[in-house]
Amino acid sequence: MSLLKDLSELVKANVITSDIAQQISDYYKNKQVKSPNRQLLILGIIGALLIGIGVMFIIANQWDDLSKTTQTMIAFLLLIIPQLLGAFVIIWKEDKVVWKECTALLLFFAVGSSISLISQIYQINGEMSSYLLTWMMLTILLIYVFDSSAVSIACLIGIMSYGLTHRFDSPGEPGELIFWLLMALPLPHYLKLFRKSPDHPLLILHHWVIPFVLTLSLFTAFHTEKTLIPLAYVAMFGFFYLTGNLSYFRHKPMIYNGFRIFGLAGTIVTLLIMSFQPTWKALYSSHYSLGNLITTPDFLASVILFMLASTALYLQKKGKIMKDAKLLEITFLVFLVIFILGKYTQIAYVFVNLLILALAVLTIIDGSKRMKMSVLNSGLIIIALLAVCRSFDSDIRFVVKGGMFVLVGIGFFVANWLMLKKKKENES
Amino acid sequence: MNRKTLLLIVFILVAVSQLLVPKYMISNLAGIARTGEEYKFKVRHQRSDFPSRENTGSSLEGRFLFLQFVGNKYLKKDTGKIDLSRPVYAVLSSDSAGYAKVVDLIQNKPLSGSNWLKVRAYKNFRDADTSSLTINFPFNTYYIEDKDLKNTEDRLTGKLKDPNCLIYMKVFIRENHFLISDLVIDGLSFRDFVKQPDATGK
Repeated sequence: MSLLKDLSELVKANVITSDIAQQISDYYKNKQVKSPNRQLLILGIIGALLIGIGVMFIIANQWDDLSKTTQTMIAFLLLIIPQLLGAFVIIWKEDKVVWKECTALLLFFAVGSSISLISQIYQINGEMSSYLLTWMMLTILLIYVFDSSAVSIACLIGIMSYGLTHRFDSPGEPGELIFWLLMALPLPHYLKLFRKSPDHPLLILHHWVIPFVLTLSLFTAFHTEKTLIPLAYVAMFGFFYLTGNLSYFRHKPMIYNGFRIFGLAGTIVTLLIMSFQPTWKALYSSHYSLGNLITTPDFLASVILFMLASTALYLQKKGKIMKDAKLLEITFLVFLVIFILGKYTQIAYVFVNLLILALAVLTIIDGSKRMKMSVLNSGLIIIALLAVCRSFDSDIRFVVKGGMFVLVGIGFFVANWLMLKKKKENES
Repeated sequence: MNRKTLLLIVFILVAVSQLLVPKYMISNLAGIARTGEEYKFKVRHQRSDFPSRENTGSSLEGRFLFLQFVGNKYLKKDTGKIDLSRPVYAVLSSDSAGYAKVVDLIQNKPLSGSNWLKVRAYKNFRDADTSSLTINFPFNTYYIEDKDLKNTEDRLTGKLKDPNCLIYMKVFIRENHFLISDLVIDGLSFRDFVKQPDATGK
């Protein structure tokens, strides 16, 4: 480390005392012991992945020349070897993070491979969802046995895949409860990682994987009343955005903040979808009455998400002036009002368009005030996307559509030019 | 008990359950072969003149033989009562030649009998009879090993296209569990079919 090399020079130059130099040296040595080498950890995980895939290819090459009994024995051996390695790691390498992560991930894939190999050897056809469920149930405890974040991420993606395939394999059959229970199991590990190692590279990956998985999984909760899907999604994205506002994320680079990016992008995309008139007509065609909705799990999911988002908003704005709240932070509440109004008026989509426009304008103003080109341009991009969406509307004349694009284009040039000018003035 | 011992005990339990699942899969198959009833499912031949993949019949793609069956139609006057967005249960029987036929299609799991499968059914709008439902059986893929494929690929493709060639799959069935026991081509078990020399005499 360059800092440690410079310590003797700093002591010689009387910038720091030898005692302080020793304390600094001890601090970094201690830090190195406590936190695993990031490079080694990432390379180890990639290595475990490659070894798993490589072994499978090598076996597949010679596989067909072997008898059924030998094939079965190899399928079991592929599982037993990582299991023995796992026992070795628990007994002798308990404090080695890289060993634990790599072994756990290797075992995770070994379980999936052995089930799939046995299915192939004995011509067992079956549903993909049952396969994924068995695989996940057999491996999810590895997260806690090996304290493995890599397996936690792999399980989150696997459970999401189970939820999606179950939706297609066995729609309308019970399975949601076990899906959400499994989905909740890696979360204590995530929270522990959050508390103990806030800069762990796999924690950063969790910050992206969790909102990604929840975004794709939420619609599996909806099977009777699709009416509430947009409402639930806007509430969930609102919750993501507010989570991304936590002080932990605010003081970190953007790469840490998957929640905020998903919250922002998800809210805008959902609102853009709801800005089309036919989307609302499709909603009206389902049973859009409280009596029909209140007894469904879909309603329950929406209520839970609204409560989560509202609680997050309350906790963040407690003791502060409400007018300081950004529109994006309260979009889920505004959308709820528009959604209820949609029952009584045919112009709910107009309100959504106005909401998107307001969000874009406020983002541009915010970017301009804070002199941030990225924020300013994201506001302009929202307007551009809105213009693209409106270009699909058949009841708007071509000249109006063309005018919108020209105005947005001019807006991009003018706003960026003014911002650069302002920056130069400030610098001089 | 220290933490390490506890972790080791939990790990051993997890590892044993990981080993038991593939073992159960194999022993379950043996049970189906012992107690299940054997059905023959006649394979639909490949038809290249149909524009839709859905109706092109069975096909060989890589190592997998994707199968469609002749007896996958079900005619019932009140099929409208069945919710096709959910899985349904097909109750099977066999004709005098031993070929499987669906005798009932119901929404809820049968309480008696063992000759049933959970299937997906849908209305095929190309069917002349609008009250007919098409059934997707869960055993619609047959894996062919590489060494067998090299020797049989051309012959198998030819047989799939030949309407005079009888191809059927033998399946043991017991309460939604099934075991593919053989694929019979022109009266030959698949094991014997691969042993036959191909056109080049290899």
